[in-house]
Amino acid sequence: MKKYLTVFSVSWSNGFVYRLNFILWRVRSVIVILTVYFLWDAIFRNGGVIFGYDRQQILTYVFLTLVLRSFILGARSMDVGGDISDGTLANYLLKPINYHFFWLSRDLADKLLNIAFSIFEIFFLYFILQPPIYFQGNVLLLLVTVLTILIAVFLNFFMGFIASTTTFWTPGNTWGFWFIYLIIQELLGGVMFPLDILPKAAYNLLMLLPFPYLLYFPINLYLGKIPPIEIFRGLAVSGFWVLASYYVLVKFWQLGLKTFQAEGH
Amino acid sequence: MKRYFKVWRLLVTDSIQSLIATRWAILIFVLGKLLRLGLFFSFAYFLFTGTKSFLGYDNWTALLFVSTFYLISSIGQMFFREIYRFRSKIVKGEFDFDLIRPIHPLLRNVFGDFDLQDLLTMPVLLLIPVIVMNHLNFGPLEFLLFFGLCVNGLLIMFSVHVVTAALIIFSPEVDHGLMMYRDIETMARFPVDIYKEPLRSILTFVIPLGIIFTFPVKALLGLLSWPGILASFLVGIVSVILAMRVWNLAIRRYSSASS
Repeated sequence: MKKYLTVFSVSWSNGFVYRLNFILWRVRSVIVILTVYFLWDAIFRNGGVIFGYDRQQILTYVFLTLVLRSFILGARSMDVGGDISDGTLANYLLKPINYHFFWLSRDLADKLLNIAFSIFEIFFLYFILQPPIYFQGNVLLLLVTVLTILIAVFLNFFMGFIASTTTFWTPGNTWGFWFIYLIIQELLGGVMFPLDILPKAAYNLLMLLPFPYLLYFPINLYLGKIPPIEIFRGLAVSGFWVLASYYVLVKFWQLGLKTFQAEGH
Repeated sequence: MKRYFKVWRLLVTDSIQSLIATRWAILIFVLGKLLRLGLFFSFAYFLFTGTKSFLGYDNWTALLFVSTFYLISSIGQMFFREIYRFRSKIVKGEFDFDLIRPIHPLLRNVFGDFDLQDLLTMPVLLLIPVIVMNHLNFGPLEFLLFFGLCVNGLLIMFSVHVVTAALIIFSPEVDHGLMMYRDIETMARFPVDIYKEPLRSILTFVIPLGIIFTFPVKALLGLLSWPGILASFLVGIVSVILAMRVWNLAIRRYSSASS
């Protein structure tokens, strides 16, 4: 455990080495969210309820996206593909560490750094935009929201790692599957739009997939928009996907290692 | 001009041939881009249909703003791809080799690479506005203005890329400049009217995203006044002149890094 804490600590410090890069990365994240914020602000300019959301709920959704996107979707493990394609992975395989825990530690450090900055950004944007924010008073619902956020962190880690693992079979394409995964995260995870703007049939189908449980589900849980029975169903489906993605990752990793040739080393 | 076109054709052929060597990567990226387009337009369609009226525009008009953004942005990326390697060339000193050639260095460093992935998605990108336009009423003059303002938008995009390249010469530390522009550019996926002042004016006149992406559609719909149209073309011409001046200034300041 101590060695992973060290990795965590070193990754945290690394974040401050390339300060300008990190700040610009954060600025870029804010720009994405600003677009979504103003889009919904324009839609709700005349008030009312659209797609089951009022202005306060939808703008809270956007603000929560800014925080949770950094925490849940922020990942260093997209660099794993590079390790596989250039053979650097061989160095890690020889060391007495678990490669997955190594990257999980790096991811968690990155998430902590991102969330620290996003809280600062939230205060700044709140001061500038002064949106109506919805505060959830139900402690039980808040606890379940925290649980779904943790589920989402692991779900994202496993699915992202699976995307990187495909590099074993396509060494010239370290970034391609991550590119597709990022698109899916953004659009089917609920970053750009809440998923319930879709027709009911498409929405129901989507809720059987893992992606809505990355952002859409935790945020709507916080907003109190999910009925109790749907909460249990959502927890069951997301729990299933965590286990399934973990299983697929382990299998992919074992198969991938058999094909790994440590080119360049 | 003929010589420049010949060199450009050679550069493009080279870059396409090298890309074809990684067919699987191209296939995955093209599929990714088509997936993004399909999902984004599906969501946008349901969003605009569900809201009935978006800033006073009906859902087809709102979709035209989105599809025009993707069309202009992708054409820009397709032609100006090479600029993303410019910083690396400056840091490694490889830019020196472009300076000693009897051809303007911007040809190779802006147009030298051609994005095959964007070319492959182009039929879909062209088809979407055509489908959307079929639901709208406009005359040939409005369409001509739309086309002219799209080309004008590409000229402004070119200027932005040249200025960013010049900034890299002034300070190679400027690594995120182009990516920052790309992110800011996404703010124009929807008409700039959604933003409040002063952000709307900044996005129209300072970083002229409104002129690049929103004005062509407004001209097509007859919502842009003649002074507005003329001012847009003026901004296009002035931006190219200014960008070339900044570039020339940067070239004079350039000192080889490591070659």
